[in-house]
Amino acid sequence: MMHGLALRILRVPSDAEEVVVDVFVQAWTRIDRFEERRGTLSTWLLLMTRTRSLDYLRKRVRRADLLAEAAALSEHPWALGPATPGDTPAHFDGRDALEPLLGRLPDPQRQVIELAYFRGMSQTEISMALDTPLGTVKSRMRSGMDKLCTWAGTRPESP
Amino acid sequence: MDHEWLDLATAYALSSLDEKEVPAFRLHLFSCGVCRDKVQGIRALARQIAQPLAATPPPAVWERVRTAAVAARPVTANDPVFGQILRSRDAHDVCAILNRRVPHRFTGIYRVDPPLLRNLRLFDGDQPEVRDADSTPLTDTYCSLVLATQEPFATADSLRDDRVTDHPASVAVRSYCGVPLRRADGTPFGTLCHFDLVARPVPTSEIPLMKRAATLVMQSLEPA
Repeated sequence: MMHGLALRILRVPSDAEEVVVDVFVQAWTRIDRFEERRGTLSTWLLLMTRTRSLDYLRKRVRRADLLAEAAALSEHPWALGPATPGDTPAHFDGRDALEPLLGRLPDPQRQVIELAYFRGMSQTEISMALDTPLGTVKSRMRSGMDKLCTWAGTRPESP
Repeated sequence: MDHEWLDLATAYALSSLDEKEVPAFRLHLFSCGVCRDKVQGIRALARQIAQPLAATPPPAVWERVRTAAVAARPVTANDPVFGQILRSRDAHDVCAILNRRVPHRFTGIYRVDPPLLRNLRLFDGDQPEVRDADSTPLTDTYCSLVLATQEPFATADSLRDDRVTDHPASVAVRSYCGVPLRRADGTPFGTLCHFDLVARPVPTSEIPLMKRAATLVMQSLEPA
């Protein structure tokens, strides 16, 4: 899953492999920082994978390019696919890849969550990129995440 | 619960909160169990979100993880895992593993063959595809000092080290740290060394590990 998540964020297999190596080494040398009461080991590794992948992405891709890419989502809701489809497993293309969870959300909610989760964009950046009011971005993000949490059974629907 | 705090908790958990809002929200988290639960719940989704993305990395990635983990882990000269890993790798990989622990660009294994010093393996941190180098006149190398004394020799900066300022190697090779390689019967074989074209601190704490690696390298080069 670590490799798949890194690949989803970075979309370049060699970069994703780099992140996987980095995260395992980081976990190996800093295992004392893992707190079991705060989650499972796999969740800890995945959180580190996401953070490291986004760091890598920020170094590699100019912010302006990320915003432009996000803006393209308005017309092409599934534009966040792999950069070179041939480089990655077929199941990374399109809606099917995320169908079990994210794919069940309405497109407007899924878009803002994907831009935050897989692109590391702030709510203000998402608002600018999608030309959508900030308040709308916030409520879409919260409503979408509430649904995901409910479906995944990690917490009840928001009050 | 105010929806505004829940919006912030969601964004915070996704690392999407605008930077200027982070300090105030962290302060709020101290006193709000509902928001803490919400952040925790969203972070726990990492596994479910990543599940459909599962992809198997190439086998070479696991080799790199293993090598990098060994290089990063604090080890002692007698660490059984370190010995086990080194025994399972070829001499070039051993050079790579040792090299990642020091700031020097090169790590090499050399065999003395008077009047030459022959390179058997070389790891170049800037060009990992390089596997060996040309032979060199023995007297032009710091390895000759290791071979003469059969003791480790190291210099952090040859141009500032009175012992070697006049040595033929001093201009090109500014930093060096080498240990002797000996055959099973104790006779000199060559050296295992780190070196660079620029000044580097002496990796004193690595010397015991290099001695241990030297023994393992010899077992690989000349099995009993």
